[in-house]
Amino acid sequence: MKFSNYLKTDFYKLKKSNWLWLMPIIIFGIMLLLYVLFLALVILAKKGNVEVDPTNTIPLDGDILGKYLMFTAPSESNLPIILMVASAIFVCTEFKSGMTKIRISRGANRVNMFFSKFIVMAGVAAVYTVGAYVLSTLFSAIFFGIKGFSAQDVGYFFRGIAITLYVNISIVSIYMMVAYLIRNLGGSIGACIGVYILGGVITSAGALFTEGVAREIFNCIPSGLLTLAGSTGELSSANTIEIILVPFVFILLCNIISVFTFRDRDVK
Amino acid sequence: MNAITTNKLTKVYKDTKVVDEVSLTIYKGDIYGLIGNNGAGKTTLLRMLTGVAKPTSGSFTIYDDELEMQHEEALKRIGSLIDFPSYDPSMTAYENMKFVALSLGIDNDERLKKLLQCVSLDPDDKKKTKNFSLGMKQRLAIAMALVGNPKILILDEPVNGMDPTGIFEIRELLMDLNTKCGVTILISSHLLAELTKMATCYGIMSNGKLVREIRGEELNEMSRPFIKVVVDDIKKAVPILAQTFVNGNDFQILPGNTIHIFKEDETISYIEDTFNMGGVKVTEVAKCEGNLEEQLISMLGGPKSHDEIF
Repeated sequence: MKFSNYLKTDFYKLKKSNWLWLMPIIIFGIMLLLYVLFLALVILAKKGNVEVDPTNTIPLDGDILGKYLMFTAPSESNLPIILMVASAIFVCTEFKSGMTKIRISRGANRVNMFFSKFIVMAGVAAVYTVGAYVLSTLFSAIFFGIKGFSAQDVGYFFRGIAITLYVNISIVSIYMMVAYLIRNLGGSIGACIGVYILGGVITSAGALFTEGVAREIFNCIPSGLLTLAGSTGELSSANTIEIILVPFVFILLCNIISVFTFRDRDVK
Repeated sequence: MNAITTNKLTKVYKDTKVVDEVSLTIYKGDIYGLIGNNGAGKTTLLRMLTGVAKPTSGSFTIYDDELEMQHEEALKRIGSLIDFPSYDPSMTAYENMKFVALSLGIDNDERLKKLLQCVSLDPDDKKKTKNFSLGMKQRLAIAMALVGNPKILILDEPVNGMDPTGIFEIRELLMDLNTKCGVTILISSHLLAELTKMATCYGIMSNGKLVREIRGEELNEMSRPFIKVVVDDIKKAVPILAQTFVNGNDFQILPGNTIHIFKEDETISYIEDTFNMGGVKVTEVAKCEGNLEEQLISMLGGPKSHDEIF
């Protein structure tokens, strides 16, 4: 059977899934809320009702806030959680409904089935990521205006999109692995939340108790790498290696585990 | 030509042998009825044949294909309904059919619509399958199994939850597929009476083992009308039987000093007189109608007694 048949089947299922349209609405809602909150803070700061902490890294200055949010809002819109839920639904509902069983019983190759699903979910991650950046650009322009946006910033902006996309694909591979291991929607989402929290705890523990190279190692969680996407300026060599290697290693390991799990286990 | 051949197919879950060295042969064009009590291993056997469960040991071939690559190709020729009707609840009947067709690389919408009409479902119905009745889900699952013109159909309890009309329609459909299109059918069902109306061969499973394979004609032969005789001394009765009924197929000795005599033309009084003259007392004698279902039940070990309850 041609690989394109697997892709066609998965895209057909994707097209018929309600969550495909629901998730962007959630992203839109979260980002809108974020912008409204910052707009309110800027207005309050101008009136003198809010005392701005001078050490605060987020500029409450309307002129530069637009550009700042344009870079950072997509990574603040909880895309990893949205991709977690989407991956779990996409994989587990097919197991639950018995459609995986039907496809296998009609001679579908399990390895091709997995990679087709992974490609489709990577596509979803790409569309959501680019969509989040388009939204952040629109909202920044509407709410604050984009001022002081240099040609160099355009480069950083596209670098941010590329990093977020790459990291999100690695996040998809982690959550798809969990979904293939557990195969139950509730259980998968629960386990994914556990993985997400654990990732946060590891990064925080690393920040508290280590420094230098050790801290960088602790920071090597894909969701932790998303902070690099919002940065403007040159990345250090360590960060560059991190951003290239870490997602790749996660994608490779998770996909190997998923493929072997799916290939060798019975389907109920 | 063999459609499906299994060779000592075994499945072990933890320490339990759910399917124990099953070797069966299904010939091309057969309607093979797989019967057995709950937990006999029928569904697990079907799951292995469709590739969703991996055998612990043993092997099987579809149309004598043995290599792994050929096996995957061969599976495309199998339509199946295993365990429970599988469908995507968020899609309509037609969308579910389309999903299966796409996975097989088929692009023939008209055929999909005809298949749905064949099982009395409306292809233009916008109702999601999650709102279907059990019978409708079952019909859809059968239609989905027929996508891609399979040469073999493997059906596990296909008429479960269907009304009598639905059962009749599905039986007619399956028999048409078998006779007109040459589709080989492996069907597992607890509705033995229904199964006996179409099966040409039976496999009887008990505790994971295939205890017997029997052709339809052989079963019909065994289910002829008979005279049931219960005697006081079976040892004395045997020589009399051998003398009176020269053909060994004309009688069957069963436990409980019971004899079944398959000679419809003999009268009860003649049989009673024959035994009495030989010094054997007949305690019970009656003419019985042949019944395939009862014959199969007796092969499965007979019905359980409820005497201890009442």
